Amino acid sequence: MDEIRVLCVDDEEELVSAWVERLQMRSIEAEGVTNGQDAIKRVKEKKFDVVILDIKMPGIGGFEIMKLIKNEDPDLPVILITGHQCQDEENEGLIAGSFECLVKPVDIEILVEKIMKAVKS
Amino acid sequence: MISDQVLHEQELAFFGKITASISHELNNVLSIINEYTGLLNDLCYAVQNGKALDPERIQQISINMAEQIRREQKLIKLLNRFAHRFDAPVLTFELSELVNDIYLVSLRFASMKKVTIEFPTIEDRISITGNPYRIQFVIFLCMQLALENSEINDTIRMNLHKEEEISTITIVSRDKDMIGGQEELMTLISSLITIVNGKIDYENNDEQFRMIKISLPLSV
Repeated sequence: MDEIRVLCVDDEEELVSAWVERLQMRSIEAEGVTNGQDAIKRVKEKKFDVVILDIKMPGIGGFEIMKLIKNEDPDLPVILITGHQCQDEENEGLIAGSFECLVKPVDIEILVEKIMKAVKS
Repeated sequence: MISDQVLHEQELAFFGKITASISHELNNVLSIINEYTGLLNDLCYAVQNGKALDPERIQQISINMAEQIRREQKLIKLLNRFAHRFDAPVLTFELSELVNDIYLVSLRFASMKKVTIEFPTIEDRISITGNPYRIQFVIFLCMQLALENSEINDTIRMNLHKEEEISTITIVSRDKDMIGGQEELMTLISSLITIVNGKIDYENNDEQFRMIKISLPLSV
């Protein structure tokens, strides 16, 4: 099976670095960016299989970034990550077209499971 | 002047907004620490499966975790100070610490709009007797007003001075017809300033920028 290519997007640089490293240790080709503009630019430059995206991003915000990513590649699954501990934002994310919505702190094994599910879908 | 009921509702909304914002940031820090503990576990697993141990990498992760824990402690202290300002309607407290805390809580809101806030370190302690939760509320509202008028990459400049028995907080930001579109916010600010026996002025320094000047007596 070809290596799965994942783009991780969060404004917390250390969080993105850790996700990337841990995903790479699980044979996932991962890279990370810390802002929406770089995320959109990267999606234009390279074909990814999944995007992991924090909802609360400075500037245009996660939902808007997702919309722009989807404009670029409508079939690209986006897994949203939220810091909100209530159901509303999860529901909002799913309605807005995300593949899945996970709550921080994220369990890496669950994240990998969702990535695999997204790739197979 | 707004009614007591509206004021009470707005104060509750303020309390909720700040606690939600700080808790969000606390959760971000915990997420980072969570990833680092997971990463350490992954590295141990890799060593058990024959990969060479990289002690420098382990050390760096440990240093990074310690830094995040310090960040968490600062956030918890900020939340604690914020909450304790609701203890009593009249207290003697450090205004410089309060203004610095409003600067800190405003940073997250500003970063969401990609706006920078500058606030110099205030060396002098400025003691004030008054209503701490209403004072922190009105300063926060003035900062919100400045943020609403700011554009991406703008800088808001905040400062604090003391002259005899009056302390002055200034907030300089872009002037985008500030007074025009924000009547509700301005009314709330005006009501709060009256309640805390302060004074507020809006000064045009030049065409593009406006200074909000909050003057507070050092004792009620």
